[in-house]
Amino acid sequence: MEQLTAAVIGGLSLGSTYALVTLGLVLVFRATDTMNFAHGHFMLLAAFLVGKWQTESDAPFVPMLLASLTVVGLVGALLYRVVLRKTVGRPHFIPVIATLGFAAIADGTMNIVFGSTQYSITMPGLPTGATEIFGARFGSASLVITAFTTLLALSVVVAFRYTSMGIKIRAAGQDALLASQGGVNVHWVYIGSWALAGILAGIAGIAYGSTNVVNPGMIELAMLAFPAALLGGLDSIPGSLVGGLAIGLLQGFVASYHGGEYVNVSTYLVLLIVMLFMPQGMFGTHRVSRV
Amino acid sequence: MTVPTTTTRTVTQPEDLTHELATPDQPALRHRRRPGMTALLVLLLAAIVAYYVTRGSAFAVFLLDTALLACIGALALGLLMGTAGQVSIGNSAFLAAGGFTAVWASRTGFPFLLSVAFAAVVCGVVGAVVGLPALRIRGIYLALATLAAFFVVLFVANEYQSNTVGAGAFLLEPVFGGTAAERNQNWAWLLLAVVAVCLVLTTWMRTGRSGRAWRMIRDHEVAAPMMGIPVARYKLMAFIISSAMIGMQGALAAHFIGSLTADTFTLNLAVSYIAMILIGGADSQAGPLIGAFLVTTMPTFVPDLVEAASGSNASADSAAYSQIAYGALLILFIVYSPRGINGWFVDLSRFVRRRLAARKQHASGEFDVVA
Repeated sequence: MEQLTAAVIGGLSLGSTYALVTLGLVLVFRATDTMNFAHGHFMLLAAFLVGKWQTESDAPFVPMLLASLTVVGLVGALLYRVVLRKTVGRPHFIPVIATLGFAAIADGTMNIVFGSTQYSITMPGLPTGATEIFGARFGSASLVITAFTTLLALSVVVAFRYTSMGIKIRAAGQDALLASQGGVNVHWVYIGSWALAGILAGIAGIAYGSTNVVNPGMIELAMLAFPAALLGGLDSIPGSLVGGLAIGLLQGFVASYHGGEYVNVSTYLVLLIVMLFMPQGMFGTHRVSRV
Repeated sequence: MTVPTTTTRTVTQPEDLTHELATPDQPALRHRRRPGMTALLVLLLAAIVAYYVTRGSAFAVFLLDTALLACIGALALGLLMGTAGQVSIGNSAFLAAGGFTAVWASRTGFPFLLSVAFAAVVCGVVGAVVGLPALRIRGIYLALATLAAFFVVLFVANEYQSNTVGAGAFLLEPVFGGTAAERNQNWAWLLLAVVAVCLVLTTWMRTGRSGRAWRMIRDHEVAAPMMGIPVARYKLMAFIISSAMIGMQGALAAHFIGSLTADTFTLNLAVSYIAMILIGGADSQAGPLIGAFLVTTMPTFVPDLVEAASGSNASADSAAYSQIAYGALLILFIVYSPRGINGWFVDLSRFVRRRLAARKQHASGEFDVVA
């Protein structure tokens, strides 16, 4: 029973982070048809900024949070505006490779600026101590964070379904020409979705960093969100929530029943299985190619 | 209908890369066989090796060895990604697979050359397995399959390492005798031979029937079978050949460095190979070599450039600065100069040839009547 609760709660807490990360990946894929391999760097940047500011000053948390999210949002928007926009109309893989190039730049820069120090983020208002659920003990802070990230992811999904902003983003991604004729400013929608993806990644990074340490290992977390995105369907926004939670649960079970070293490999085996047997994922679009 | 409209859209994937990797004004014969050009490149490489082995410092020879090793992987990735159009971020996976297979073989008593050959064969098989999804999926999804290969191979490598030598590194007996400097010089000649063979092999495949088939698959995958091209066979072939070559590089690198640990193989390493072929020029003969030399020597000159530009001391972060440099160059080249540095040389030689032809025509008096 203890092991089971550890698997489920631990998995859900990871899964809620994955859901946020995957949401960002799916959002930019939906809007601009690009897989963003620099998503983990957005997460790490926001977490690093907050961690560094907290160790160097006593400023209150909320302005720091807003400032760091503004920075990653701007970085995301600039990446799209300065680089990816220039690759419109070129083969599919060109913008993806551009994000890989950006990932290399971000990796090197963060290595120089932040060094190899590990930072920790202390979020005010989080409960300390541990809570016992069915015999397994969890940090209360991580439970609160889990609830918060799940709610956030859920509300973003709902917002995409029902608000005009969400509909604009979906429309612009589906048919840019038609959307622009319908009065949607496609250009700004694209920039906005990259900024939003950066902000979502930043929130995920800070949330994850407040219960774990902040170090470059966070980039791997975003790499492990690709299987979640593919499982849910690369272009399905509700799918990212389901996929993220499913991958989190899978990792929770694998970690608690087999051991942490099997987590990455089992996640990517899921990716291979999904790819071979249902490439469109659970909620994704069937892709049809014509000559 | 209960299904939201968004889930029923059809997407026509743009398969067309022709405007990308070859400009329309270029003749179809761009990829014809030119043995003289290949010979010239090999001679140039030999001259570089000869110069540094006789004149260069020990460090320069070491750097030359790493650059030559990188040439093997870059040629292989150039074939897979540039010619066949299969996007792969799996270079470090195959490097790791090759290195660890060679270590295993050496520990069981294989001699040096046999362990390298064995690693190449094993990696060819691994490449076939990774290529299997490529038969069903296309384009950028495939990059995720190679990413999966990366995590699976590293898992196996980590398990093997932690069960045999623990967190330390595998140590290998040096292949050549003598001092460290002499060993590196011998390696330079050996690697020159290997790179020459790889260059001839990849060029021969790129410029023949298989090259035409790969380009057809790259540019119009859906139409390729209608031209009688067995798409599955050619895709798998590209994966097997390039993986075997990269695996061989991994095995050689493990023997060359003399130690091996799973921590060396990162995604950044794989990105640096993508940078090499796209900076040098994808689907070209000299491009991967130019890129490999440029990217591997970056840690020696990029910090100096940074210091000259900003005045701050950058040598401590040479790896990070060169990472920034190749990332930035990668972006600049794919946006502004998709044919890479090799494309500049092609344009330059065409420009010179046109000028010469015009001058010759002029000198022969053909235009005198018009004038």
